[in-house]
Amino acid sequence: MDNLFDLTIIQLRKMLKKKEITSVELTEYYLGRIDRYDGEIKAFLRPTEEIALQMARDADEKIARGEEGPLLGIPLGLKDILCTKDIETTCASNILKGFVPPYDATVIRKLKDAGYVHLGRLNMDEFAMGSSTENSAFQTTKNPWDITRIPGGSSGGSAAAVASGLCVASLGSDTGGSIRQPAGLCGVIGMKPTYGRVSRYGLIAFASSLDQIGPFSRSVSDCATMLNVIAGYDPMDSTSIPEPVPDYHSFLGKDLKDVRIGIPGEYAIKGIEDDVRKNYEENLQVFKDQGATLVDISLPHTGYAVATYYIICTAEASSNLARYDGVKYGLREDGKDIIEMYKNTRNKGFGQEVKRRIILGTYVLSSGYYDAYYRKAGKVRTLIRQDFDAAFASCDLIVTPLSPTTAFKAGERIEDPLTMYLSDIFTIPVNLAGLPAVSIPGGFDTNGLPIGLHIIGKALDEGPILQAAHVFESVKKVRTIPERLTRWVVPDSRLKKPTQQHLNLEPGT
Amino acid sequence: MKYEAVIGLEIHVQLNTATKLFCDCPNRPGDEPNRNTCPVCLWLPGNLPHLSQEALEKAAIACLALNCIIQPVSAFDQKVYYYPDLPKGFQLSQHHMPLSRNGWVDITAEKGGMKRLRIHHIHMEEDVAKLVHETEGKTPISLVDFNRAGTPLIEIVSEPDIRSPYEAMEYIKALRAQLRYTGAAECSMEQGTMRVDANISIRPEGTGEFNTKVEVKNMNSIRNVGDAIAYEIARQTECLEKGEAIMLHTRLWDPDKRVTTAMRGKFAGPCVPDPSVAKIRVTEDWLKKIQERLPEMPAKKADRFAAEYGLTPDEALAMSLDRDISEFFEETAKQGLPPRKVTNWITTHLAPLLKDRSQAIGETALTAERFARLLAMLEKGVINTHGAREVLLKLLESNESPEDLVEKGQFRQVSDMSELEVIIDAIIADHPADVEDFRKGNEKVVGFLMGLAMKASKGKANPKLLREMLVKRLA
Repeated sequence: MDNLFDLTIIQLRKMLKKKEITSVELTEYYLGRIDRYDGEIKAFLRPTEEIALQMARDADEKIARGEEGPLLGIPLGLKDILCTKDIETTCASNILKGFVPPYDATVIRKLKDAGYVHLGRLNMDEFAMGSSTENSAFQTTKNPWDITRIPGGSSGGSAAAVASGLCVASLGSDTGGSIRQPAGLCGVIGMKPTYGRVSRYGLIAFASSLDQIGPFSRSVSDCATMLNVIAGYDPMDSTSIPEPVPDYHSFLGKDLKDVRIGIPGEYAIKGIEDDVRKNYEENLQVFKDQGATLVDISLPHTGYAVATYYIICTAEASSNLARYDGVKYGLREDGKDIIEMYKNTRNKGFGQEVKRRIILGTYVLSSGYYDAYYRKAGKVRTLIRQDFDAAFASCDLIVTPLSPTTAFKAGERIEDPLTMYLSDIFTIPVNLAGLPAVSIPGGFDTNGLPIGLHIIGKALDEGPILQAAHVFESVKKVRTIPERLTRWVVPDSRLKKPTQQHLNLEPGT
Repeated sequence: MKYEAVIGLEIHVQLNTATKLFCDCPNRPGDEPNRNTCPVCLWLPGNLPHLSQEALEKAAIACLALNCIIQPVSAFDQKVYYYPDLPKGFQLSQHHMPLSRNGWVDITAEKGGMKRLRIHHIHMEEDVAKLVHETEGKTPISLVDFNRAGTPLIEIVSEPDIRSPYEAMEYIKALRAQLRYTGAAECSMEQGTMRVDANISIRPEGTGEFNTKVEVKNMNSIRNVGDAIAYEIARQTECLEKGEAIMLHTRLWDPDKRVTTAMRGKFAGPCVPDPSVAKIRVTEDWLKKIQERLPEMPAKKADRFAAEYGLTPDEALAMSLDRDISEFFEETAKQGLPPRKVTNWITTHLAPLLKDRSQAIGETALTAERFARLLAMLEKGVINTHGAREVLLKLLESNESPEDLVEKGQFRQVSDMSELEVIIDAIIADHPADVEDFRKGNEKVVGFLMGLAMKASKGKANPKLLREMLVKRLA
């Protein structure tokens, strides 16, 4: 029973339905792989083995009763930023260590309704602040393609787990590229949906006007399956969009004739690596060969995006993180009075990058600077949005490189936040404009490191984005898991034990 | 030098919605501590607000009742400060874009006539949690009750038009009457559903300057607001006369010592637009629907009462100030009773009784229909004022018919001349000296003897008839 990780959710669902495999077996399979590989990759902060097996047994019972569900019995990993009832949710921060939410995020409720199995909590940069997952308070996740390198961030655990075949798919969150950049650096698919397409209720906030939840997967089909489950209006999130959700699978298999792809001139920046640029040009040719028309477009305010982003996101973060004060939950460090207790708690509970952003955010909002920074950033944000509106008048999709470089070495940029910030130049404008975009595996550099390809669409155009991604995937067939991680086979002993147990529940099958 | 005061009031009013402002918890702060809480109003990580439509509607009605203009777009901001009564470290309040602007209320000026006091704006905001400090025991502890956290408030910010404690108190009363009329708020300073902060500065009389103001908080009655302002005017005048500068700061009214004392400055953090509460965009249709829900307001109703029922302006005002009373009056008057008689009975008998009992009409058993039947019996002379009053007391308590109560309590007025004759005979026989006095021209004696005769009839004698008969006999 090897290479289960090469099957799509749809294929796995068929097998589960036909009882060629049970959810317990599938879950044990992934738990086995986590045992074998995650000591090295460190994608999971906390696998939740008992919960996973219980959910798998429940799923098997449901399958036996003939129940359906797009994710029924499918083991998934979750970025540790999504509040999950009765399961510790830390945001990879000491300040939330031991915090067990008494409620489910809306996406978690939707995953539960769809029948998923909770494999475990995935590592991330603390409070989703970072581009390398090195800002986690608990561990450093490795890039599965080269463990001396970072997996990207902030959803580095979600990307690395999927790229290592440690779960079928996962969820992450994207504020300035936190899904797409690690997906690109780990060579998997990661989508940031339109702002408001997926409810943020229960997503621990970093920057509320930018945050969006999205899936990681190793196939476009799985990305569509996941998006079908999590998308939709939610009265608990006033910013969610009250529009019906299409079946994203219906876009897969369509060709690219009559599709106009915009190429922004401003994205040809100096810092871009040769391999990345070459790969990008090759990939544009793939789209052209498949019938798409390439159009030159202009996004003139691109150069201001990173500065604008770091004003807005730090400002929002500074108030969003004000609630971690030691009064109600998580860490409390006592002091002689309440002010000292606040100071001690926040000093000990937050890591360096989080503190840096709170200070930046407080600064840009402080009286006398508000107009110069925050208000002006808001105006530039509008200009960046208008850039995209204007560009989309002459094209249907925009294709850009994902990141100027492939995965960098661990520790290389951690002392140089500015360079780290600048590496998000291609993903950040999309968040500022609230648009949907996907990162798909575009190929490899000369070191064998994945290069991501970035497809941006109009608001609510997740479908056309997936359509193009699917065409590209079918033609280019880029590998999505390092070969070395496919050699070990989960021993039958691991799978059979619970299977027997399970079969006993179901005489006659 | 003569000074005049420049006063502006900031009034927080709790809306009586069923739920809190941003979640579905009951808006009942007085329940068992922390009973009415959920992940949203505790602002657990990951939570998002969803604005209560009922709160928005009630806030809008309140704005209209205070003649404010609802803004086409309003929005919430995050007011950041750190304190345990604020579970997310910022308060959601409409700082930059309030729900409404430019309103007013009219008051009777101190020297008579009308004075219009302007309202700068009204905005919505969430209330904070309640802190309970337990100082007894080995280790003093502070407890937080989140029942109140997230309940809906409106803050009414006046223009600095108020010039005296009297005007401040009249402004609050006028505003309270308007707001209670809408049914959107209780407005009790005593119970904390209305909280008034006063900004006070003084200037040489007749100048137009605005000097450094001092904010005064913690007044828990309208009278206290007046007293605190008067104290503060005197204090600031003394400071200026001594040549001391007035510093911008906040003071607390001490209701026991009847003074204001300086409060420690509070850290005021930034105030930024909140990205998670959708902007409120008001459509004309919506506004029209809200306007239709606004009841006939007191001033308009007083005019109509004067015209329709022939009340004097004072009577019309008295009958329209409170919505319950105004509706009770109108229903009673419609049963065919002389409206001024109804007014008189409400003002001199019913209202004081309700005040004694601290009850609203709706909280008693009395209905307008039964009240009308009682007054009808009084009109027809079946009972006298004394009897009517006794029956009214009972009508507040029970659902029995006024007619039955009259019979049961034997309140029926005695108009039988032979019965009255017996009483008069006895009184005259017992008080020969007084009778002599009367005959000498002391007419005051009639009142004294009337009193005795009424008492002898146990209050039931028809007083008009009794007096006629008594005077005739004395003569």
